[in-house]
Amino acid sequence: MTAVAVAAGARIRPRLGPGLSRLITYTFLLAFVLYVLSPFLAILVTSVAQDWFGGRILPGSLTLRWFDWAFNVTNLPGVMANSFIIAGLTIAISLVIGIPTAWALGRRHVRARNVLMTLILLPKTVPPITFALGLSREFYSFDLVDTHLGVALAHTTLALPFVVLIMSATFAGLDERVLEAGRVCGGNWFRNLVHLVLPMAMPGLMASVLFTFVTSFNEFTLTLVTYGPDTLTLTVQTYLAIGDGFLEVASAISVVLLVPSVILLLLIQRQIRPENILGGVKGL
Amino acid sequence: MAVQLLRRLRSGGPGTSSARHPGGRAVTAALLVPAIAFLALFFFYPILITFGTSITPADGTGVTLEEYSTILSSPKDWGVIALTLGLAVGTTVISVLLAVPLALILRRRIRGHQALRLLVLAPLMILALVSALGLLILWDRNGWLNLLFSRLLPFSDGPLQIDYTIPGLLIFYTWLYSPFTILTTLSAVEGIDPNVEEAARVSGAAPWRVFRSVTLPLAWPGIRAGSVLTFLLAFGAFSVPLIAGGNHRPLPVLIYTEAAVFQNFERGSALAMVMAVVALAAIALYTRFSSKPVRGSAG
Amino acid sequence: MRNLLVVCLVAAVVGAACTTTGPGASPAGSAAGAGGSITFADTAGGANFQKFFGSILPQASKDLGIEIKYVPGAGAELQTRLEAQKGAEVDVDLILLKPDVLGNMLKAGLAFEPLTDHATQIPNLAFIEPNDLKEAFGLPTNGQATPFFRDQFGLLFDSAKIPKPPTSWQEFFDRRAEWAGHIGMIRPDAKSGGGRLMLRDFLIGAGVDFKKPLPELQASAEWKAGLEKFREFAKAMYQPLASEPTVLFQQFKNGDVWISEYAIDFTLWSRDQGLLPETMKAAVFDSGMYGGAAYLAVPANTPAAKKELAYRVLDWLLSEQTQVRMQTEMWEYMAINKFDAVPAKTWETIPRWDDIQDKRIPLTNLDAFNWLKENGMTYAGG
Repeated sequence: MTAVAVAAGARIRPRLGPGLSRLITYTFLLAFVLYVLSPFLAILVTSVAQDWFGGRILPGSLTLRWFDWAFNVTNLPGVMANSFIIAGLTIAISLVIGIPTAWALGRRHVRARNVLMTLILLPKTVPPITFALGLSREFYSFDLVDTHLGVALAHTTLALPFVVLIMSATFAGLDERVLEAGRVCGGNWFRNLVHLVLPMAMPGLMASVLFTFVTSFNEFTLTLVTYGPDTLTLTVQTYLAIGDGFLEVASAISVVLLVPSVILLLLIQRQIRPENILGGVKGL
Repeated sequence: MAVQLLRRLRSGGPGTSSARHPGGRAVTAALLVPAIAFLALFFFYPILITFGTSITPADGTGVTLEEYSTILSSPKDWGVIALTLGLAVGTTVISVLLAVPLALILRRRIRGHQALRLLVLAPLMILALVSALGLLILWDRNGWLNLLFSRLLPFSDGPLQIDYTIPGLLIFYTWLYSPFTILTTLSAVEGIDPNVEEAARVSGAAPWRVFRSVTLPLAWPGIRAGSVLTFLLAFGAFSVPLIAGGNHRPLPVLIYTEAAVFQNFERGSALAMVMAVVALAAIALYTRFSSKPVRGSAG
Repeated sequence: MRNLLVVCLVAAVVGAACTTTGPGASPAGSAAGAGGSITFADTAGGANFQKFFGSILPQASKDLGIEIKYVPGAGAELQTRLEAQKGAEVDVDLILLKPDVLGNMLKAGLAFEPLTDHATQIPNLAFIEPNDLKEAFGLPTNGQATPFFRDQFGLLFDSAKIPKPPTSWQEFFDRRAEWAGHIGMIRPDAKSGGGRLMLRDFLIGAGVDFKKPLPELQASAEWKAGLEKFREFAKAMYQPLASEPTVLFQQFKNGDVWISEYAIDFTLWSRDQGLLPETMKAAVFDSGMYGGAAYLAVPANTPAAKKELAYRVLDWLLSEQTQVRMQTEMWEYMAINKFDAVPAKTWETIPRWDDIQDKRIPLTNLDAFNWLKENGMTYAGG
């Protein structure tokens, strides 16, 4: 009976356990939701707030001025487009450079593996400001300042470690039996790559894309030293909007930003479904 | 029996079979060249300039380690390093403790789990500076969460001081950086073949034992990858401690102050070099000593 | 679904690569310039100035027929840009600088066009205080920059919480217990100079003479006594000190801070926008408070044709109509001496120019100021 149950591919029970564990679980989840959501609520309220001072729980009055400001004064659409373009370029460059590297470090015999991994992680261990100045001077010589490509290259220094770390772990964890089966069945390496490796690596790939996007989209210091009139990004614009202490417009910008971010998340999220990972080839 | 299953599954790991490296070293080198060239050009060259600045004496001639000896012999600077490390380690630990139960719950696909998965990633969607200000407002003495908690907690006699404190910073850091750990943990946990756990359960192991001997070791590489990211990000956090740290000013804030405010580039650069060394050492130690849970495998 | 996503990603990347030239991101003043275009870099202000320029620059474009590309930015980065382009043609034609940035740029050897040589193209220069064209913070500028507005620091307080504010630093010090824990200040070692200016003004009020060079100051008795007095004063401040102006403003909003010294302009502007209580007021001590300016300049290595356009825009910015708007909307004191043109109502909120003219203490003695920057926190730790 044991063997039958196992062979039938028993899955995780979908229901929760008895009363107490359910209570604990739901309390935990509720606390988590509150914890994560609350700053967003604060920013959301700030973005429509007026007369919110003196320890009041809620603003004295609400207004849409800050949104109007964000769109008309800070040229939100144009600035957003810049941020997206730069993020897209960063993803492309990071993947092109990072995937071969991750493959080598994750699956091939590399003698100086640890040293290399360390070197690749280095950009994330120092505050960007420490190499930002040197980078910007280099960019001036290469005429890369105020170009989307230039800013993307700067962002890639910070995104590459993500890609390499995640993808090397993903590649290292690929199920050997599947790959072996592919080899044995006589497929060429390209077919195997697309039909076997890619599906198994997809969650890691999606995670890499997500983290790279987020890194580039939110990067400030490096953008500040490589940007120009044509490449004003959201982060720089938000920072400039705050100025002496004017948080409201920055909040409005952030709220507007959430819309495409959530859409992107929804798109990516569908790819990290568990059934895609296992692909049904597992069995004892 | 679970352990034996584990061994069998992992026997096909990398580096243990032959004929895995078509093309040999040349191909490997070719695969690594893009990254090395890129980093050399866009990171190492600038950072070398920074390093050069850190060893340049005031009169511009020769080389000096004066800045480094000042840092290493200053209790105040060591305090800052300790603070930075403490915050990063604390954040990482809390993130893992948060990630594992959350991943296990989400795995069960309870109602609303899709929304929860999106929520996990929400902190990534907002600029750190703005979320720092948002957190500051939220948790200050008149802030919503503070008012909520001071009602709930019986022993407090008024609003808690969260802003500008170390516990406050840990709360803020976790909010910002735990998503990375949660995501990789979730991926790792969902990548576990449920049959393995089921087999262990069926052979009589208690749920906790199943978790400790099967689930955790299998998920560990994923958990570890994410926690390294969280650690690095928490180590380098700047906006949050600047805005909400009060008198607790970790390394990134100190470097900013020295370089951007005092224009003391020599000391700023030296601090940055020290920061890199400390971060790398911490990660090296972590990866060295965190291979234990994965028994009977190449790590 | 997976394939669709991959296709989307590839399309996005290809699309991104094709549009590397990217859309311009500058909104203001892009009227079709039959007369050419200039790039105007603003490093002085936050969203309040962006809005101001957003409304006046289109008018300028229309009046002058020049397209004005407006780029907000930060001072340090602009300096890096200009330094990198030294010896070549620069791509920024007119810049607005905060005082410390101008100082740093001059010290770094960057050169700007002496505007006084072009008085015919910039007639409004005649209404600028001659001394303002000669020097800034004790550094000779030789006419390379002109004030665009003059700003003034003042005692800022919530009159609802403090109906009878102090009228001097001594009184402030003596009565500090009344407001213990509610006196705000920005850290002296912050990027923004607000905190160390407050410290400097406090010391001046305590008898320190900042005209003396730093070594002499440090040896003097008033200096040491003043610093100790400040240490005492700091104990009554809200701790921890605000790390940047943004935090100070949050503290004002929370009601944690009731009184501080900071820039009058931004505070009153915020009050107008409903971001600070209506009861916020400003006052200037007789012993003097920081008075400065933001400066317009034209880089020396701007192409000659662009320079001509820049002078015309500069002149427009110094015109009476623009300057009066500056005064009434942004609460800055005009750069030109035409205060009669300002509506009388304005002076109900801020002190008249004549009242504060002698109380303005510009930033000089950078050495002492930098000393305060690096060492001020040891006295303000509370």
